[in-house]
Amino acid sequence: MNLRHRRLAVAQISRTELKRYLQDRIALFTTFLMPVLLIILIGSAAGSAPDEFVVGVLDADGSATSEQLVASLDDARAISVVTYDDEQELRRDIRLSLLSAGLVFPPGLSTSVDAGDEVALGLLTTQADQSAPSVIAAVNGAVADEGGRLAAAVFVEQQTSSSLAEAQAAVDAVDGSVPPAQVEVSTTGTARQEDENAFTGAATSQLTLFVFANGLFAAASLVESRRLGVSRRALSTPIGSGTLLTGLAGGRFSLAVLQAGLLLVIGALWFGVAWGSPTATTALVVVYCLVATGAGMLLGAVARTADQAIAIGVPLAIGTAMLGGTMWPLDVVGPVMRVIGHVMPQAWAMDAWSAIVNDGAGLSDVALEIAVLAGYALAFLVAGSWALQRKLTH
Amino acid sequence: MRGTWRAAWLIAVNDLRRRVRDRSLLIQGVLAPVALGLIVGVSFGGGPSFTATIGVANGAGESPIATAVVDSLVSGDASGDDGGDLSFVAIDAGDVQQAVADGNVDAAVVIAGSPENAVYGTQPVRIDVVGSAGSTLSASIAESVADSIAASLRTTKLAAATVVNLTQPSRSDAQQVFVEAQGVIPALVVDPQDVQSNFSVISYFAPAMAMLFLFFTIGTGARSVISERREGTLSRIRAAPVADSAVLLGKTLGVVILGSISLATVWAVTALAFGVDWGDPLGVAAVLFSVVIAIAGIALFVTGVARTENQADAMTTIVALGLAVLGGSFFFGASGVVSRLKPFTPNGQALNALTELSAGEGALLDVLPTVAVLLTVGALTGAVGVATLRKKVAV
Repeated sequence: MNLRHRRLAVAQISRTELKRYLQDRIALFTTFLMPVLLIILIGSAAGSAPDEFVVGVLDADGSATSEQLVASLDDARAISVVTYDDEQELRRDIRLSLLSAGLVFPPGLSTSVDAGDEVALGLLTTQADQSAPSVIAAVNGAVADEGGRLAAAVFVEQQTSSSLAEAQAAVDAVDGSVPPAQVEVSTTGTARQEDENAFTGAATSQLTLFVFANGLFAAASLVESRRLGVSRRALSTPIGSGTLLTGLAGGRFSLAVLQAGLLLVIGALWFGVAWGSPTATTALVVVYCLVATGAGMLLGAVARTADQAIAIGVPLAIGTAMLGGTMWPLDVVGPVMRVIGHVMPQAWAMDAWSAIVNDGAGLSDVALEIAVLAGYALAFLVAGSWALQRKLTH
Repeated sequence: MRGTWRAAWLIAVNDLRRRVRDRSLLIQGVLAPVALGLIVGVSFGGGPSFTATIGVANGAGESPIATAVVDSLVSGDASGDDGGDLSFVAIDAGDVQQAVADGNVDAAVVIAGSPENAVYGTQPVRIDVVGSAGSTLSASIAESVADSIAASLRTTKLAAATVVNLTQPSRSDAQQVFVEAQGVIPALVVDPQDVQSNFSVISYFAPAMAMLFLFFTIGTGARSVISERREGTLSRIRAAPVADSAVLLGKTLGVVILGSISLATVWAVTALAFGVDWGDPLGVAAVLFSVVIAIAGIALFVTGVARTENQADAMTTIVALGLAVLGGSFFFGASGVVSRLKPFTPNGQALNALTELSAGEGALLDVLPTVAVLLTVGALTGAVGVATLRKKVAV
């Protein structure tokens, strides 16, 4: 077989593999529909979070002071208040993520404040929730304002002959004439696209997750054609094992590129994601698709049945996605998990995506990440081809 | 009737024996849920790890009040109140932009205008916050620190100015009032508490993943009706004096037992090997059993509606992954759309109930409504599934 024939054979095998895969309805769902659905869900959930925290308030005091506090919390920046009568219900709704936090006003709050005591307000949050520090900070700021007014009234009562009610009225009168504080916020550096467009993070993470996952899922059809003897029969023709393996890999690689390409286009047109440097993005997509292809070839060689390939492939795809930072950013886990995460190719791809879309990195800036991914691709492809060839010829 | 049950039991046991030999079941039913639950548990065992260093600068020159504010923040009076690992360092007002840009601090608070002019005079309190565009969370925390400082200065101003207003003291007495008013601190403080002290994320993600894979294991069991018809084993069973209902009962019994064993094993392994407390055992058992019934019902329905084995396989995968996404199986603490859609999925219902049990806030009685919903879903979808499958068996 000359080179031209070999090339034709590779193209033919790749085309057949791709066609077979695209005829499968599950494949179409996990390849295109599911990542897009997840981008919408994750993007809209992340996009709605920082604007306003919904805080549940349980007012066990029921005094004019506590009512005033509820009103001023509701007026505060970034907080919207929902009132509760039952603490169990309040706690449940926080656990079920219906609320960002819950604030409990203890009974006797106004009596203690009137006596000049400091009162601690229990702020219930879920520590496992990533937005906990922000919501605590927001409530802190809002409560401090009202607490200051109350403390000032007590001071006035002690220093003058006024009653507390008179002191409060006097403080309120002065309050109106004190100019509001000027807290000016400025930022240095350029804003990360991820912070401005919540769909950016969702699009890069789902692309990374699903290209790899699909590579693994495609192993099932490889096992099936191995089991049915299709691959062996192909080997009986003069094409040779190298051509067959290249063709099989080519089909999977084309599928990965098709999937990544479509997600890039949908990301740009539908979700407004700016993908940054075209050379860096192309290099990353190509090398990452090779990683996914290699991983699928390896699994296809190791698994004994198609069911087993799926049984291993699905948890492997989810597990490596979790560790590699595509289900949550590795910034929120501890240093040890960050190191373990970088054993997964996904973590390197996510680092490269972040640099490209957030910092405007070019090809040379993400050279390290791309080199590491190329290493993974080479290792998987060599190991997968070697194992497959052994299975087919022995 | 006794004969039907006996035949059904034999079919169930035979199915189970064949499935248990298959290693895929061990991977999907037990190993994967425990391993994925553990990954999440190790990643978030102590809550998300958030650390921020906030720089504090006195940009007001020789102001005693500004110096005192910076000192009190840096000496640690205010750290720890913000739920994360928050630390404050004093920086020079001239270096603020550079310190933030270089990443030496995550954000900075600068007391810009003289606090004395605000407290004694009529000027507003001026505080600048400098954040990095790359770390919006740190910037918003720094902004809240600035709000707290402003609130504290405002408290002093309000307290002193009101007393002066009411008593019209002499100039020296007025000054004394202002000095004393600096000791007035806001009457309310926030005390952050974790609402889920007993809760372990492993007890959320291990069952979440187990439920996802349950669709596949149960789906394979339900599909065996179609494959056995194709392979002819079903005709051979029917040649014996066994009613069609016994065959379907046996198959259903087989998948329910299989699903229950899978979830119970995940529960046992996480509890015994990793000390995860799932909460009231009766409540947990009731929720797990009822979710197995619900998923079995849905899997039977999907298999019944599907025309071919391949179609059943495709539909099961789509339903399983779709429900996992909508039911919050992939993300914990998700706000927005997912938290609203969650109760409309069987896995989401079960996860909400398990969250309550694991937090030690509920027992069997509290989860009975969820159990009832899940059993109803299972019974309704299962009934339709069995009826359609019955036609397939009879053909």
